[in-house]
Parts: sequence; C-alpha cells; structure tokens
Amino acid sequence: MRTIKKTDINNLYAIDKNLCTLNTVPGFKSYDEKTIKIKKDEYRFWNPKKSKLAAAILKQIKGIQIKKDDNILYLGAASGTTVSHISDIVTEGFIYSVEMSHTPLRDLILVAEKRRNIIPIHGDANKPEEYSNIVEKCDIVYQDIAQKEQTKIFLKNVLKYLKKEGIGMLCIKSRSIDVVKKPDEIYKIVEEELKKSVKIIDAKKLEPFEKDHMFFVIHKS
Amino acid sequence: MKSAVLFEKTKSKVLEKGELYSTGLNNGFWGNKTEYAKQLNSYAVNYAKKKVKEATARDFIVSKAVGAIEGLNDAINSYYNRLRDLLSGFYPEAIKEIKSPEELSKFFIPLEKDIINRKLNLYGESMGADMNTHDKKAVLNSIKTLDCLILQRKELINYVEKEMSIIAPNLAEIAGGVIGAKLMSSAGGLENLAKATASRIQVIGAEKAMFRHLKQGAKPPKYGLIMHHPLISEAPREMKGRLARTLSSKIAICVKVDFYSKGKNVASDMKKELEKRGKK
Ligand SMILES: C[S@@+](CC[C@H](N)C(=O)[O-])C[C@H]1O[C@@H](n2cnc3c(N)ncnc32)[C@H](O)[C@@H]1O
Repeated sequence: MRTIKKTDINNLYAIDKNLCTLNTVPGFKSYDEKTIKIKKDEYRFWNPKKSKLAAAILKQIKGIQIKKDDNILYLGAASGTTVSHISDIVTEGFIYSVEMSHTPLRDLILVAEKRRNIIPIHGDANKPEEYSNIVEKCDIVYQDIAQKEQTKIFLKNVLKYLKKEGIGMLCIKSRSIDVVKKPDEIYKIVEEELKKSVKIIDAKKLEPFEKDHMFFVIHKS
Repeated sequence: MKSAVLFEKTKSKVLEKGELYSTGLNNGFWGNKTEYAKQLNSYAVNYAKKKVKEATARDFIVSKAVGAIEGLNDAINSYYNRLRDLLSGFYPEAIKEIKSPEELSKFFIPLEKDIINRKLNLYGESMGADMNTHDKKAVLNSIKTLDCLILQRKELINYVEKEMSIIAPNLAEIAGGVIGAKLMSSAGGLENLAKATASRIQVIGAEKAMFRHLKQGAKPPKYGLIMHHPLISEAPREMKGRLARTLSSKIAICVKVDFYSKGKNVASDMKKELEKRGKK
C-alpha cells in the first residue's frame, strides 16, 4: 500500500517519501515528469534532482512557505520545470515567470497555455522595470538564474517587487559567480551582500541533490 | 475595448497586489478572478510568442544547421569505420589503401576485384572472401548510403556558407562560413559574438582546457575552434600561437562590423594581410 501524506503546503504531498504535487491539469505532462494515479487524483513527482525548490523543501530550509493565493515573481523560469509544480500549488495566485533565453521560453509558453496561472515573460531579470506593466507586488520573489551578478539582480527585484512581509528565495550557483574561488568563500560574499539590505532567515547547501548550490531564504527586513 | 490596453500600459510605480484586477473589474474588462486570469494569461502567452518568433533570428537557424553538420560528421565517420570493417572481409588488401570516406565509392564501385586492384595498383591473389550476389547488394547499398550522407553534408555546408555570407559577410569571409557559424553558435548568437573580446574568441571551443587552466594551473589553451582555419592548421607549429592571436583580433573586428554597421566590407583587406603574414 502506498502512504500518502498531506503537507503544510497546498496540493503538496509526500507519497512514499517522494515529493508530489496534485496535478491541477490532469493528463497533461509539463515536462517528462513521472505521474501516479491514486483513486481519482493524479499526482506529479517533484524530483529534487531536477528542481532546486524541491531540494530546498526536502532539506527543510526554514521560512519556505507558499500559500495558495500567493503571487510569485520567478526569475530564471527556464522551461518551467519548477514553475509547473508551483502552478499546482498556487491555485489562486500567479507565477510571473521571467526567462531571458528564447529556447527554454518556447517550452515554458507551451506549459503556460495549459496552466492559466503561469504568466510567461520574455525578459531580463536585470531590467526589472521592463515587466512592471503586468507584475504587481508579490508575496514571493524566487530567483535561480546562474549568472555572475545574481545577488545584485535578486536584490533589485526584491526591493522593487517584494511586498513588505514577503519572502525571498535565492538559489546561488557558486560556479557561475567564479569558477576558481571556493564555493564557501562565494557564499560568504553573497551573505554579506544580502545582509546589507535584507534579513536572512536560513541558508543551506542543496547537497546531495545539487552540487555547489546554496539556497537562501530572506525577509525584506 | 480590449483588456490588452490595461496590460500594455507602462506603470510609473509598481502596482499593489490586486490593483490590476480591480481596475479591470471596475471598467468591465472582466467579471471575476477566473476571467481575469484567462485574459492576463493569454495576453502574456501571445506577447511572449511574438517575442520568441522575432528572436528566432537567422543566426539561430544557422547555428543549428552547423550543429547538424557536426552530427553528420560523427555519423559519417562512425558509419565509414563500420563499412571498412565489413569490406575488409572481402578486400583486405584494397581496404588498407583507403584513406577517407570519399574514397570508398571511388575505388570500390563496381565491386569487381580486378577493377579495384587495377585502380589501386595492387597485384597478386587476394586473401578476401568471395562475394555472392547478396553480399554485393548489401555492400553496394551501404556504400551508396555513405555517399548520400557525404553529399548531404556538402549541401548543408553550402547552405551555411550562403546564409553566413548574408547574416555576417565579414565574419564569413575572414573565418570561413562554417567556422564563423560555429563561433556564432558557441557564443550563443551573433550579438554575443559581437560583444566578445578577441582573446575570448581565440579560445572559443577550448572551454575544457580553459577550465583546467583556471582550476588546476595547467597551461592556458592557445586556440579553440579557430585552429581549424587553414591559416592556423597549415602554419608551422611555432607560428600557430601568434597567428591565432592575429586571426582572432581580425575576427573580432569583422563580427562587430557585421553586427553594428551592416553593409560595410572590411574583411577583404584583412584577409589579404593575413595571407601575407601566413606566408612569412
Ligand atoms: C538554472 S536555470 C533555471 C531552472 C529553473 N529554475 C527550474 O528549476 O526549472 C537558469 C535560467 O536562468 C535564465 N537566465 C539567466 N540570466 C537571466 C536573466 N538575467 N534574466 C532572466 N533569465 C535569466 C537562463 O536562461 C536559464 O534558463
């Protein structure tokens, strides 16, 4: 028998220790995820090796909360792997999904056509003013862009779009900041930079799911 | 009025959560949250589609075509090696003389031992197995398939060269269409290549060696993709490094001209100069 357990997060379940979200578009695969049907419901496996947010949840990083009516600004949406699972969670909110490169964006658009709460945006996270026509103040600002200037870009967006009591989540890939420096040195620098303008709630490495990645959760102050 | 006007309008300050929804609600654009979600989503989807379409520029297409050429290279080499193995069963002496995939059909068709031996100046009794009609048919079709791949590669190369001479004529002239396209592809498009420095261009395609250099202090790579340029590949060893530097600085200028000031030709003079240097 399978054990299926509810979690604190809407539509997020643990099925035999695997993280799964209830598929809000049953029958539709957003990428090549595994699915499972239990009674009348279809669940999508959320693989922590493919999604850093799933890894962060499994590592029980403090402060990660997503409510069903949250609006999320997601920077570096890529082809929508993680975004699609958040889409299962925020059934009454939006995920403003910013992606710069048009190759992954094509896949993201196809997912967004089926999932109404995904708002795809072809944009550069380093120019947050360019998407203020549709993006409103958000409950969560999430960033995973693997770029040299990622901390600066994150803070820019947090200051502009995160509401006062909002949560920021930042995934840092040390290699994209500097390939030579030791990851720990880089995390220290990022931490100092964050501390200047926001409050760090928790930070953890994503090992064993992801090498050389650090996940920060922050509050605005 | 369509709701797009609401979405398109630039906002001087970031809207509060739900502001767009209530503005639209008050103005009769939508009656409830579901309708709002539907309209916002289709607006964003359509707009993003338009942007992707515009962004799928010619440089993207050519980058992918040059990728297909590389795929064919791999396929041809691997298939050719298997065919050599097969043919060595029938013509062990003759196959030793064959040096490239193109030579297979030239020397082996028709599949007559005497003719093949004469073409290759071989004498004496063969050690190879005899061929029956089934063998012949299988071998012949295989060689023809290889020829098809070779031909298709040639056509793709022509296509890439022609496209490159339109998209980036100076780059194509100085680097050659295919090398130019590969540089463009590795850089992630013409714009990125135009922004790259000469020293970066010099080592595009040598990322692994560069990483080893940075991480483990190994020797820095002298050149990447551009080593296949005849100026470098045909130069004596001791000159390769210096020529690679000169070539990449010319490439950097050419691609900038192609991207920023379309229509100007600067490559012809540079090419002459390069050829002179190569001879020295
Ligand atoms: C590691 S991937 C993100 C994977 C995604 N978060 C997921 O888990 O499904 C990083 C993405 O960020 C995008 N990116 C990099 N710089 C960006 C920028 N300045 N603005 C927007 N997107 C950017 C890249 O094109 C790439 O698709």
